[in-house]
Amino acid sequence: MKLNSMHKTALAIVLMSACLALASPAAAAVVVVTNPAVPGDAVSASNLQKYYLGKSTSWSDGTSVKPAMLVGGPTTDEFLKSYVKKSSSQFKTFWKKAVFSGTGTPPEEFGSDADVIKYVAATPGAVGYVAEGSDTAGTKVLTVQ
Amino acid sequence: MLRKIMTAMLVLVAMSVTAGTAYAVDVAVHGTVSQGYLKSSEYNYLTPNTKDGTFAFNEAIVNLSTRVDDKTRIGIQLLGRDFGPEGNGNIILDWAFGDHRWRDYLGFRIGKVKTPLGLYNKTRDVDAVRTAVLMPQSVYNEGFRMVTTAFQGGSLYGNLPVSDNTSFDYELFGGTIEMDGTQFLSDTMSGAAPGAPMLSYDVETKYMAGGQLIWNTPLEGLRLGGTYLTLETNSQGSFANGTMAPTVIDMQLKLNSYYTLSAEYLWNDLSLAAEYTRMDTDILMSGVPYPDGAGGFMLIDIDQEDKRGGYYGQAAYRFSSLFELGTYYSVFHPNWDNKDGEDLAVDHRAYQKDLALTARFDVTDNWILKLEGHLIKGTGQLEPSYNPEGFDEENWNMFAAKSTFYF
Repeated sequence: MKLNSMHKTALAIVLMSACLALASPAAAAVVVVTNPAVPGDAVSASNLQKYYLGKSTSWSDGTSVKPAMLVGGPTTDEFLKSYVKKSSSQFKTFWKKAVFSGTGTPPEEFGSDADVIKYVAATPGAVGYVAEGSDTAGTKVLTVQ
Repeated sequence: MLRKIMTAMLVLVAMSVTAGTAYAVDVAVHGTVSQGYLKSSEYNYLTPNTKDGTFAFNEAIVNLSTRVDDKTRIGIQLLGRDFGPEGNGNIILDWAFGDHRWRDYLGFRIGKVKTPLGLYNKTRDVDAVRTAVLMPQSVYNEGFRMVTTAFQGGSLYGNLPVSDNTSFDYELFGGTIEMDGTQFLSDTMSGAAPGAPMLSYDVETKYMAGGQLIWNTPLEGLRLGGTYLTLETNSQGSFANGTMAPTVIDMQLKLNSYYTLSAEYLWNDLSLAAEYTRMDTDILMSGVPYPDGAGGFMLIDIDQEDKRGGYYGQAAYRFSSLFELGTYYSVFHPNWDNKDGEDLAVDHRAYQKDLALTARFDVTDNWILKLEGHLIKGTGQLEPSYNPEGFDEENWNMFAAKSTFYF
């Protein structure tokens, strides 16, 4: 069977869509930032997970980790899926359990990328994430290993 | 003790609120309000009116917490609850403690602290954090809730990393339990003096101690754990005894071992869990009235063992932000040494097997609606005092619904 140009175009679109779907856009779409005084230029994905689940609470210099996050949205979904390894609902449930059992305080939440950057820039020990392309001035962008 | 803890915590929170204006100390406030409904086809399960349908199934929680510094937090949670004969809407201190986390591997909590028992005991009061309306009763027995929910004392806890993606969470705890109004103990005592009205009842916990270890395995989302606790109580009940002076029964209860083994696996929107529990108790009662054959009574001692246990497996899948479906299969045996009911007048009193299916609707970010059906085989968890007509039917079912608002 010969494919006409319309079929070829449709096939190309399907293949490109499949490639895009199979690619991992999550890690590329999110930028992790810290307060400039936080030591190092990289953080391991497992440590990032521990910071956002309250299992690790200090940086290597002893400064307390102060995680910040966006209120919902696709950037948060990608961050949680890629680094915290939880769905958005599982992450909310995790912290609800901690709050109502008195065993933890959830990360600070902010309404916009700019608010996250402002908090991280001004707060010693703060770590946050924003959408790729956001203005990160005043913070340090971390490489996630 | 309880009053002192509560007063201290309220003062601390009040100070933090006051300080908030001057030093920007935040007090986080959360809460939930739930109203449920239960209706059974055959029996009065969990409440005395379940067969007819009951709305005596509700709770309200107010939670306040604040950070004192980067490593120290204080918090308090008040609970008002009505569940059959338990609670009656009285507001109790659910928990109130100070928490200092010195290092990731070592922190301590002092006050009234939620008991770590299995994976979900600490949050059993909070409907919003689970799929099911009723937790699997084989492991999270409502009749034991007031015993297991919290203790006054302290705990050491922490996270011990083993490798980059493996760690252990631990908690060691000890103290006493506020057991006033615990149905299990008064029912056990009343069972020894059938027909004699209870005039007064007093219980004191000598000690409670235990520990929990959770292994966060290298397989992302898989947790395996175990919990152990032991406790001892002394209680005294006074029963009317005709024209004679009231009969006083002394009861020593020693929970020799109460342990739970747990597994949980979370993968994307799927969550799986299974737990197994055993509870072995020695109960020694003295001063129990017993017919003497001449129309009177003599007082005897009763030494009995209580060996109960159960297990469950559950699965839940979130289809969307609006809808989640869950199911569990829960098996309970009131006497672990007689699971088939051999020599019992009603053999299905030896077990209760519950297949539940729940639909959870997150109508808004703060409002949840749940509908749940139970197909139940056996009558091993039914209270005789709620079911005076006996236990003729082995197979029965129950419907549960709950609406929860939380913030």
